[in-house]
Amino acid sequence: MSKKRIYAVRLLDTLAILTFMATFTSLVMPDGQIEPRLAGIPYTMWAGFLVSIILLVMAYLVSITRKGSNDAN
Amino acid sequence: MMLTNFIIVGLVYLTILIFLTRITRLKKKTTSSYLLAGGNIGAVIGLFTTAATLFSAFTVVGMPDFFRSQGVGAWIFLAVSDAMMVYVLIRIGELVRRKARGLNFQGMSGLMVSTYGTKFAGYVAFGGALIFLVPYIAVQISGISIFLNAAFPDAFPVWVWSSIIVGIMILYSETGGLRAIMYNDTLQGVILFVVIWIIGWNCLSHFGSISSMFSKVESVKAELLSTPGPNGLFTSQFLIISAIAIIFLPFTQPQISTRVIIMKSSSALRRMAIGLGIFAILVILPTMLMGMYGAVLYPNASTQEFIGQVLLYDQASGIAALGLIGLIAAAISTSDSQIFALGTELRSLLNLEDQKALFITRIFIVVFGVLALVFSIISSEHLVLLARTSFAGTAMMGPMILVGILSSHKPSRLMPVLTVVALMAFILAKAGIIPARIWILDIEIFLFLSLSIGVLFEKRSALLRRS
Repeated sequence: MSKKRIYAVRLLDTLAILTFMATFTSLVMPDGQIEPRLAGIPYTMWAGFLVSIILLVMAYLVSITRKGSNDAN
Repeated sequence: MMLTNFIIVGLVYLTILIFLTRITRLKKKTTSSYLLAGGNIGAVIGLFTTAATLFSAFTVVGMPDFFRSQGVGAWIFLAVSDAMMVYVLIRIGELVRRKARGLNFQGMSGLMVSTYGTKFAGYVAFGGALIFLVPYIAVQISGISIFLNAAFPDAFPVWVWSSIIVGIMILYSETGGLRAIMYNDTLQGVILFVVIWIIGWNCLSHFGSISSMFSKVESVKAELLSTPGPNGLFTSQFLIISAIAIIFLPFTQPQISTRVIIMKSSSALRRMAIGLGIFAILVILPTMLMGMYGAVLYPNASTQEFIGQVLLYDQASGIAALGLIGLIAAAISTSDSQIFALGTELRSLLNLEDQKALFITRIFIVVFGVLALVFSIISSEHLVLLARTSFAGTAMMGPMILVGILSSHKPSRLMPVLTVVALMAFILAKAGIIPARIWILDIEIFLFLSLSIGVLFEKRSALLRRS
């Protein structure tokens, strides 16, 4: 794996772990708080949805960095 | 009317199952072809079979009920954890797949024997899977059978429904092996997806829009729209424990780890994993709509009453019949893979000539199926407890499995021994014999921390041995 790819994977790993950990803090799940809403959707619901999409996008990006490097059976 | 529709839809479903079983039928059965589907699964079949195996009846019954009674934190409980599971699957799954294939993978238990160099590690992996999977299968079968009995009280007693479901699973597993299961899973995954969206969409239509749905829920019980929810269930600790259990699933639940390892290439595995994440979000979303619908219309109903209403009585009879088939499909596609995986695990511990080992394995697949059937009929409180904690229980084996597979040297017996202790402590705590909290920590977090310290200790002693 080239140096650039290694850095990209490390960066994505760090971002994924931080995003994941932030989910369990008041950043995503503030106690008993419904506001601010987005199109009528309560905060924890849309923020949680956003986190799952961000994690999936990161999973896709990390899968791109692995492409071609070790596809052997 | 509904019974007629159910019989028609059920017959179409059975016909397709028989057709798929026939085309996947194996004349010459070997461990590779029968138990591991030849080890060359493409991304699409891999995606549907893993998704159908992963999303059990819990998704159709448990998730809407979770949203209804505990609120929107259920999204974090499953969807965020699933998304992180996909990330970890892509990062570690490839390594696991390559290492396992290099060691002539036949099952996770056998792999533990070769990586740790002791049968004890294999027995721990097999024992852990058996203790938690059989009750899980039994509870799924009994849950669906009780539901079918309630829907058609004059048709059959509960035990006949259970026997029919187990009979169908064993029949196609015995005939076509893992390939038949995978093709049937694909069918069941598609049914599950379509059914859950039709019903979810109907629930949303009842309110007209998402915002009016949430404002109605707020007027009934505002606590449902935030964490920790009305009963205070969704605390950070609870969600972290659940997330750890779910992230470890592809490595600790043999029916999923087998699918990861037999993918035909690393790129197929990556595509399957991304597809799985998208599938997860698309399946959990309508369960949220069903749950919010229930929160407004059936806030005080029992789980069974609520599911009966949302899946059957509030739907047109054709959709209701499809809903029932979707529920059966969700239960069957998970249970068949779990029963079969127990057979594969057993095979991987047998050092016999292939045909003989396969013969014994096929007998034991029937035995495991019958065992699950018997347990489902005499379903007890302890059984339900083991099933409910199944994912967290098998996750206790995660550190041992990953150390075994990812170590470049032969690890000591430390992790298998620690895992046995953790599994026993976990079961005793759940049974109320030892405390469920140690200081401010839930027992699961405490045990995971202890296992993590074990991993660090194992790594350090490996470095010392090498130097």
